[in-house]
Parts: sequence; structure tokens; C-alpha cells
Amino acid sequence: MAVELRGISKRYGQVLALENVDFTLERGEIVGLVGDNGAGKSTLMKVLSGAVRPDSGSFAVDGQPVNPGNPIGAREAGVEMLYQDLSLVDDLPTVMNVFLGRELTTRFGFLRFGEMRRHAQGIVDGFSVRGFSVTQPVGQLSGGQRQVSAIARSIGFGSRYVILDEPTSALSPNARQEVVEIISGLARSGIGVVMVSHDLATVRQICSRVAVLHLGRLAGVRAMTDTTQQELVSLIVDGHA
Amino acid sequence: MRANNPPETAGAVDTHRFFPAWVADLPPLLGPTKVPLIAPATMLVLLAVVMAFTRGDFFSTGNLRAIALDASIIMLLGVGMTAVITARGIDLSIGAILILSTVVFAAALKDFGLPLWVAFVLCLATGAACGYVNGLLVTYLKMPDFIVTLSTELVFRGLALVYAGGAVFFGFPDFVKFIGRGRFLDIPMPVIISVVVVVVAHILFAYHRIGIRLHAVGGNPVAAARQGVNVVRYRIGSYVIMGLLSAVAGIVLMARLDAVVASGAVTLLLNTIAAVIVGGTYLFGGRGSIVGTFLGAWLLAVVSNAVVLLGFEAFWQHVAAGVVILITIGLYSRRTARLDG
Ligand SMILES: Nc1ncnc2c1ncn2[C@@H]1O[C@H](COP(=O)(O)OP(=O)(O)OP(=O)(O)O)[C@@H](O)[C@H]1O
Ligand SMILES: [Mg+2]
Repeated sequence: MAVELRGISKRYGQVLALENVDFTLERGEIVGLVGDNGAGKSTLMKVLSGAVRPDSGSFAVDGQPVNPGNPIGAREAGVEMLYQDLSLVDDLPTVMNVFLGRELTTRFGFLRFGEMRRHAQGIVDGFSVRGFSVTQPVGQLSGGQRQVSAIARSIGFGSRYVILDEPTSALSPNARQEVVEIISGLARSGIGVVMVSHDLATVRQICSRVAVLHLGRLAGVRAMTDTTQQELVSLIVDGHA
Repeated sequence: MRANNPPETAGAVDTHRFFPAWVADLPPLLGPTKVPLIAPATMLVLLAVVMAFTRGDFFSTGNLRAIALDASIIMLLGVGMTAVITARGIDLSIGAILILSTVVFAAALKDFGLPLWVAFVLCLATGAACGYVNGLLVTYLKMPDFIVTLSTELVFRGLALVYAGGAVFFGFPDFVKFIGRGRFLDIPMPVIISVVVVVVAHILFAYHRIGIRLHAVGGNPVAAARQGVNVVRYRIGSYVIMGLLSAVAGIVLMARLDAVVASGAVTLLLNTIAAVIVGGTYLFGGRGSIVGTFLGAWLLAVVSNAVVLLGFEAFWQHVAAGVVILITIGLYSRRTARLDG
């Protein structure tokens, strides 16, 4: 049971953002994805969530091929994503951001707002980030509260694979620790998690494997138990150990 | 997740204890985004109060009926424009769509002798088709909405003129005249039609999935697409609704005048955009309000009416409308400035 990307390439004009990259994520594991700025991490994760259609390569979830470049297809296959830019609609409240595209409605499409509000508030209240109401527009929230809103959307729907692109970048040490615990909890319950991060300490703390991208190429994949900080740094910086 | 949450955050939303539970479960009544309705509402009340003291006949049934008739066309067009602008578009071709679809109506009836209901269907279909063309050009050719609809304004209006020239169609069947001049429970039919459209539109805007997605498409199209919302379909849809409502407005206008003039309907566009913006809808998308547009349409109608009642020349209507728009926008620009500072 895994998500598998094979031979993924993606070009943006002159920039080869990804070049023949293979990536596998098993259920129940936490994989770290690291690399320098512009290495292609976000692009690879967007391929995984269907937000970006690769120029070539294949995508399969639990053995079933998934049409690349289709966010609904990826989501229906059980893949959920937290985007680095959070991808929130500022004027809408947290609750409508969390449920955007999969609103709870009556048979005729009318919003079941109370249910959605309670569900979203329940997730948000699980964080000690200063409590906020999910009916406030996200544009009025603090950076950490916005990040929590976006995290709530990616973990609130019982998906099987969760992609987190820089989940802790805007968070205080306290909130970061909570997110780390949430991620560990997700993995224990059988969900596969990829975490993109520049924070090697956190990656080493919770990930069982780590993949390193360098200028769009996969520089290496290591089990956390048989690599060192030293080796990871030279993979990130030079593309080889 | 932490188990030891501060208890005050857990119950933060259960403040509606005097109401039955389902009331607290309703979506925000005025719409999913925050729009400064207080500005147009204040202006409207203020103007009405001033008028009530200066002209006793302002609140006479006859005068209220005149104001409502005036507001009804702008309400119809404004609902469509609110949808388009909320989805991050703009439609400058509504006057031309209105004319073209009524010319089609008149031609079907007078030149081709088709049954009345066929003429209605053709008229509405023309409006929707024009909107569809706008939507296709904007989404698939990725041309700016402003340029596309500026061009189609010329094309649609040109087509109407090519067919009709300077001719005036008039003398429509009684049913058409009833739409324009008839009353139900003493309320003019155009007012009933436009208020029904406003109510239905508000229900969809505020309480239906369609409204939420429309706001998302305008507020952050990339995010909406990533969440699986069909952005192209919503953008095209907003133009089709706009075209359809332009045709409806055309029918109402034609029915009131009992005439179709291919060179008419030039001031409607600016009045419509003014009503929408005065109503608090954000010109660059993502924040819209049908209630606001309703208030905006009435505000503009009351201003025109006041100018006439107070005995000024009709040309002063434009000056007064411009000033009232500036004051209203000024009211809420200052309000948001205070919130940010
Ligand atoms: N939509 C786009 N259009 C053009 N170029 C893009 C686009 N998205 C990414 N790129 C380019 O592709 C390369 C990889 O970008 P990507 O965002 O995947 O990097 P990253 O590893 O996530 O970096 P960071 O750590 O800074 O988030 C960069 O050179 C970037 O400029
Ligand atoms: Mg990135």
C-alpha cells in the first residue's frame, strides 16, 4: 500500500524543476523531503496532490494508476495536501476554507453550516495556538492561526496519505511541537506522511526515511538510521555525499 | 493534539443560547464574506429621512412605486453583475446584450410571426448565448474580461443595429404590456420580478454551495482549483447568468416602454456597476453581496427621484448620483482604514 511516482519530469520554461524523479510513500511511514531553495520539493509535492501535471512520468496510489494533474482524482485516491503558500481564500472563514470543494450540504446543495463549523472548530481547538473562531475570515488571522487552518483542512478528512509542505514554518516552538505530535499520530494510525522541511532537526526527529532533491534531481534516499547530519547536508548542498 | 485545551476556547461559538439550535447552525445570514453594508444602508435611511421632512409626498404610494420601478432594472442587472464581479470578472457588454436580445424578441414576434412563448425563449437564449460567448473568450483564450466585454459590447450592439437599423418596434401583445405595467397586489410587475430574482440570488449566494465556490473562485482562483472547484465552469457560469438577466431586464424595459429601440440602453452599464460597488461588492473579486446590490440599486433610484422631487433639472441626477457614490464609498473606505490602522 503506497503512493508511487515514477520518472517524473517537469519543466517551467528554461527551468527543469524535476528530472526523472522516483518517489515512494508507504502507509504508516513519515518521509522527509529536503533540498535547497528551488530544488523542486514543492513541485514534486504538487504533482503528488494533482495540482501540477508533470510533463512525463506515472502516478499510482495503492497500485491503481491515478490521472496526473487532477486534484480531485488525487483526493479521491486518498491524498491530501498542505501547500507551502497555504492556499487559503482570505475572505472566507476557516470553516469554508476547510470544506471548500467538499462542502457538507443537503441533497439540493444547501450548506449544512453548523455541522461544518463544529467539525472544523473541533480540529482547530486541538491546537494550543491561541484559540480562534472558525467563522472568522482567514485573512484576519495570525500567521500561525492561518497555518493551523490549512493543516486542519489536510488532516480533517480521513485521508490515507498526507503531504505537508513546510507545515511548521510559521509556528512558535510550542505549536511546532504539537504539529510534530500530530504527524507522529497520523503515522501511527496508518497514514503515510511526507513532510517537506528545511528544519533538519525536526526531520531527523520524526522521519523514518529522508529523500533529498538537488536541482530537480533525486540526490539520494536514506533510512534515517543509517545516515548522518553530515551526509544529508552534503547531499543537499552538493547533490552527492 | 493536546487534551488540556483551555476550556474557554472549547465553547467559544455557543453564544446563541436564546435561540433554538438550528438558528445557530445557519450560515452567516448576509453572506459568506464581510461586506460593509452599513454604508449604503446608512445613506439610504439618511436620504429617506431628509426627503420625508422636505417633501411630504416622498412616501406617497405613487412616488414609492416610481422609485421601485426605477430600481428594478438595476436590481436585475446588478444581481448578474454581482456574480460576475465576485468571480473576479467584469461585464461591459450588458447594455448590448439587453438590446440584442430584445431585438431578437421583437423580430421573432413582428418580422417572423412566431408565437409569443417562442419569442420569449429566443430572447432569453440570446442573452445566455451572449454571456456564454463572453465566458468562453475570457476563460479559454485567457483574455482580460475588460477587453473581451468591451469588444463584444460593440459586436452585440452592432448586430442589433445591422438587423434593426433605426427602426423602432412597438405595439406588443397585452401580456408583454402586463409585464411592464401590470400590478399584483398593487405592486408593479417589474418590481415583483426583480425582487424575486434578488431573493433567489441571495439564497444561492449565501446559503448554497454555489455561492461559496463563486466567492472562492474570485478570491483565490488557484486555491479554489486546488480544492477541486471547476474555476472555468464558475467563471463562464457567472457570465451566462449575467447574459440571461440582461435579457430579463430587456424584457422588463421593453414591456414598460412598449418599444424596442436598437440604439438605447447606454447609461445602464455605469448605473449597474455603481449600484454593485456602492453595495460593498469588491471590484476585484472574492467579496460580494446581493443584499448590498439591492441597497445600492435603491440608493441610486432614491437619489434620482429626490433630484426630480426637489425641482432640479434632470441633468442634476448625474451629479447627485456621482456625489452619493463617492460619499458611500468614502464611508467604508474610512471604516476599513480604521480597522487596518
Ligand atoms: N509555476 C511556476 N512557474 C515557473 N517556474 C516555477 C513554477 N513553480 C516552480 N518553478 C521553478 O521550479 C523550481 C523548483 O521550485 P519549487 O517551488 O519546487 O522549489 P522548492 O524546492 O519547493 O523551494 P523552496 O524550498 O524555496 O520552497 C524553481 O526554480 C522555481 O523557480
Ligand atoms: Mg517549496
